[in-house]
Amino acid sequence: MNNQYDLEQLEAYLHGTANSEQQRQIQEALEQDEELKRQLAILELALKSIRLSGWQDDIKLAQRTYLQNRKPENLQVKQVFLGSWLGRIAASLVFFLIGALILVVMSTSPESFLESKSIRYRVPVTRGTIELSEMEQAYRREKFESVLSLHQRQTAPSQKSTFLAAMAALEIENGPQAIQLLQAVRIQNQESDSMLYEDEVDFYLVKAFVMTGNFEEAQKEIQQILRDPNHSYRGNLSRWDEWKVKIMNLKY
Amino acid sequence: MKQKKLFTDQEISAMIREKKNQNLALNQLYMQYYEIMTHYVIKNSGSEADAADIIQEVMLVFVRLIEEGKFRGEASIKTYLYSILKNLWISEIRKRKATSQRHEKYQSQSNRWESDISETLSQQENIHFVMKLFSQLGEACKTILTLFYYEDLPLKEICVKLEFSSEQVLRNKKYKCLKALTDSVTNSPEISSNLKKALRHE
Repeated sequence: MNNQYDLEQLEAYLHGTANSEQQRQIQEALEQDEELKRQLAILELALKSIRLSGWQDDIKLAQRTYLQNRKPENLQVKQVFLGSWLGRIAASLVFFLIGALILVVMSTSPESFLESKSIRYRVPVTRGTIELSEMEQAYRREKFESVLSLHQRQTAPSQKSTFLAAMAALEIENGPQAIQLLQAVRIQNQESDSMLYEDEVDFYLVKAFVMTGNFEEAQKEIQQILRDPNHSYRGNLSRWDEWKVKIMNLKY
Repeated sequence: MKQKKLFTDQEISAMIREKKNQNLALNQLYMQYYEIMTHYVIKNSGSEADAADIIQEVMLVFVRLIEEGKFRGEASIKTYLYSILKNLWISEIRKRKATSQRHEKYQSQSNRWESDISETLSQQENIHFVMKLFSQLGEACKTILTLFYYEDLPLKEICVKLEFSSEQVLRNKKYKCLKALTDSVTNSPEISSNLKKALRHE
């Protein structure tokens, strides 16, 4: 320890409270005396540390007070930050799905379903075929009432004739008649042990059942088509269509 | 902890510098920035407990910057705190990975206030060492020195408060206490060596 100046004098110098003569003397001594310079640095460090110890106590108190009054949601948000983000994403997805579901329920109706499945049956005309029956000609000309009337006049209509009449009934949106005629084709097939218009009957029965509001039967027909990997109309229907019919069943 | 009015950065800095309502200033700093700082620590592989420890240190360094006149409002308090936190946390992570050196190199600085933070942080280890020596003094010494140097109470008031027979007796006691602390620092080879290096601007 440099004995020339005591702690009080050095402190006064540090705080600028020493008289000007002493201030100058210490300043000059510091320029030559490394030991004095070190003592001054130690004193400065000690004084700073005393003050900071006081500050540390106040900081600890402020932190303790803050943590005691900390809002639980703040704590949770920070602790489960990742979980919180995943939660937000999940909530957004749920919100989106609910919105989408509501939209689907609102927009699903027999009309929209039938419109999406508006595959009109066309009388097949192969190259070289010139002659068409009177019923076929009427169907092609969209004279559907005539088709039905011609069918009624027949005493023993063929599956082809009955099927064409069913298509005509569908065209004029006579669902019950279409169902009756399509089911008649099935019976004729069973009786004759044939499979004429089998896939067509399945598909158009779906339309006819939806048209008449018989959604449970429509659903059964869809399931039957989807179960058969070789069904001609499998590509025209999906599980989503089955869901739409279920929704219509709940809705109407 | 509801504070009706939020103080501005300038007001907070003045309250700390002048030690007027400093507790209100600290409360506001905690209320405004504790969660942000905790989030940073947790996001960077720390825990809630790590955050609590490091934030105390951030506040202490920030107080030092104000006391040493190094907070001049070039950036907001939030920016300062965040910068101190990043430096301290990076240093802590390095220590944990056992790759740190005795004297930490803090983040590169592009401007004056960042250099001030870096310089202040580099002295923090010595400060903590002396604070520890101070905590090892007797209770009477700690009380006298705290009341005088931190609370800024005049000797006359301390004399009454601590029931000293005279101001001169208190003055002598305070001198002895401060001497005991500076002697402990002087006798610490580590601090002595650091100070020598610092004085030689190494």
